[in-house]
Amino acid sequence: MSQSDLSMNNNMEVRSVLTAEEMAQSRKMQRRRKVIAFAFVTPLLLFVLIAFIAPIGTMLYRSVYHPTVAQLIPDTLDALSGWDETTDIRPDDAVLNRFSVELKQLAMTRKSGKLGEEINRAMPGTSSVIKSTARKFKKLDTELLRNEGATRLLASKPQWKEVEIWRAMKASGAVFTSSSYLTALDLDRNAAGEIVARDTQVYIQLYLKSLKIALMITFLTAVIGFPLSYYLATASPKTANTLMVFVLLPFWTSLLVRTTSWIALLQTNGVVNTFLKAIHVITDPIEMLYTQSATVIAMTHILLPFMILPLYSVMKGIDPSYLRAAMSLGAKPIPAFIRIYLPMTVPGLSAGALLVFIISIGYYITPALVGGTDGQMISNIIAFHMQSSNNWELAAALGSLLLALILILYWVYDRLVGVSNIKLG
Amino acid sequence: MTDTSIADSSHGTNDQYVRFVNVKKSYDQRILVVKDFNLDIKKGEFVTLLGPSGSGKTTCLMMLAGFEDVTSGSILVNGEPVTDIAPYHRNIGMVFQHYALFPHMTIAENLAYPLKVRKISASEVERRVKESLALVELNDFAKRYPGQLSGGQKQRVALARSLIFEPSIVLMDEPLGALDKNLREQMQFEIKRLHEDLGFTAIYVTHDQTEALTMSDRVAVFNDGIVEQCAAPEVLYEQPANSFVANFIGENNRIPGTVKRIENGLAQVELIDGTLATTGNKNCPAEGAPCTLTIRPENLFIASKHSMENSIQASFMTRLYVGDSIRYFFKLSSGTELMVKTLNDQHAPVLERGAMTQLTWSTTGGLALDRSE
Repeated sequence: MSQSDLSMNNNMEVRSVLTAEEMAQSRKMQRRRKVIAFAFVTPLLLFVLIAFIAPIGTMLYRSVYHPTVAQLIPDTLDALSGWDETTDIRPDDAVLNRFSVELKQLAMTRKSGKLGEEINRAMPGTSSVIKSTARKFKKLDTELLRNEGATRLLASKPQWKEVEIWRAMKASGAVFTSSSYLTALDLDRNAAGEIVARDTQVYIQLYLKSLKIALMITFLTAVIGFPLSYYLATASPKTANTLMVFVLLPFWTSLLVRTTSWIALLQTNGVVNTFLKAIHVITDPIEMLYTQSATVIAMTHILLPFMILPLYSVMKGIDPSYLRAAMSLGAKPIPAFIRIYLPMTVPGLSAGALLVFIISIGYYITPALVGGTDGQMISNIIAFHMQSSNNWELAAALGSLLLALILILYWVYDRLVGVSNIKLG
Repeated sequence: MTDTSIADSSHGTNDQYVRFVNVKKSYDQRILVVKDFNLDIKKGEFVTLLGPSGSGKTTCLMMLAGFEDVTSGSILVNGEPVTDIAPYHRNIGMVFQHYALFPHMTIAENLAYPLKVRKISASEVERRVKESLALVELNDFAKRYPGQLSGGQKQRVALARSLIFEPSIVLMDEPLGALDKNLREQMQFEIKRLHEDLGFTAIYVTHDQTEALTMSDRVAVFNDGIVEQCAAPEVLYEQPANSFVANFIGENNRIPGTVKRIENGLAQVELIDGTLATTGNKNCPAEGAPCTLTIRPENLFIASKHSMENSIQASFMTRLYVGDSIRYFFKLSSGTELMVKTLNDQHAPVLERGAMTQLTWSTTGGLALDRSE
């Protein structure tokens, strides 16, 4: 190898690999770009953190964290920790004495009602026991209760003699508990601490119903949205724009207005029934409002744009020459449509379906207004526990389960369709 | 042409394999985009429809393929009118500008598609797909998806797919429009080779005149819904029917003038700056009529010692160095610009800017044509 060959080889090496200095320089540039990019997203990141991640985190935490009882009767729970709840013997008098003192204190600070409410959840019927005993103890001296609280307690109500109420108290006292999740899944713990099914099945059925309604809505929006999107995508720009306004119109009207207008349409003497009676299709009005079908109909209408928009944008991008090519190759229009066109719309169809499904499974306002009892979905029960029954832990557990359900379905969906196939716009 | 010509051709001869007879097309029921289109295509011929965009050439192709209906007139294939036959029954292969390969099918599935819709047996399909892949030299690509192929490969697959069901006619709608220059030349060669090997009748639409000239047996030049001239490439280039064709095909110098006298088949033309020139073309306008003298850049020379029959004075402006040739730009006193194309050899002159130069051309080098624009 001659001298010139060697030098050429060296040159090649120098050209393809960066020197340490150049590398440092290029890293610096890259870091700078990253910092700038991060600065751009910081406001959004903060917003998402405060408005989205933190509340969801709080919800998940709240579904297992339940400190109320622990704060109300810390001393009693401390004493109860030494008692074995699996036996059929009630805690000894020392424990009962300490509870009597705490109950009196609660009565003085008007918190005994809260305790009653909490224990009542674990064992229905206890609320009145606790409240009436608290009323009696309010007048008694603390020192007296410290010594003979047990006797007074057992004398006041027969329930105090039973072991169940103490079990309930100890169970409610746990700061971290799975009881909300068990309730949300229609399960309960028996005396022996085993997980058993509840007598009344409420929530599982509600989840299944919500799933069914969401799937029905997704299917309906797809069936209605597909031909319209196809027409929009193939129509002249002028027609397409005009029709697009009608598709987007629902977005510009209040959700409440749209939902209540369905009430006007569907009620017993509403537009639909009056019309059907006028053309003699029916003699007696059909009960449409406050049913599951009302929820499905109104939500299909409300969520239709979420199906049409991604479908339209995908269809718009499909070159009409594909169908022409298929026909020039000898395929008849319908087989060509099914074999060639339909597979190409899958990204839009799946994006629309995913959007509609996820939005509808957690939908609240429409089922609340037009659903009646039959058309309620899981979010309505969550709202009920937040607003009426004041059981935030159960609401949080139900919400977390809903979130988990959606994540699982999303995972299944990803396996079946592939999320990378989705095209939203 | 009238009804009698249709009656005559009802049997269909090899010379009139595809016929467009008085075909008119309007999209909006008001304006005709194709005005009275007549064309006979021989079996196995390669005919190109050439024209600027919007001139109606693609519309004619789509009417033959069956994707657009004919407003009036008729289209016959092998003597049979096809106007009422659905596109999927016409058995005409088609290649699209953007390939139109089905993205969710592999190359093999794409090729098999036309065979499968014809209910051809699986073993036969497999054999023909293999054969077809070999034809376009893509044997190893059967399992790939169109997205994994380069533009040229995609176009070869599209070509193979349009040929696999053995159509007697193949239509190509600007098939090379999306490819870069080198690939385009390679594909032109490929299409020519397939055409010669398989002997199908090809109707090719393009707006690229080089493509039209190099590939076709005949070229129909479209302009605004009518065919200006339909002839073999060399005829189009050397004997254009009118100034549109002359300008559309290749480069041209155009000098406005008036026909002074026609004698013994030679016409004397007075050019705009008063120079007299003689030409000998048959389609020269009548005596006294305004005309355009067109001279191809390669037929115009910078006069050295001896000049040809015609010459004109012009001042040198600039030159463009192209590589194998050099283009010299001149300006007449009237302002008309002229271009001379010479080979880049030792005879290529070096001129100074603004130098008055004599340009010269032979009697056959210039054509007196109509002055429509």
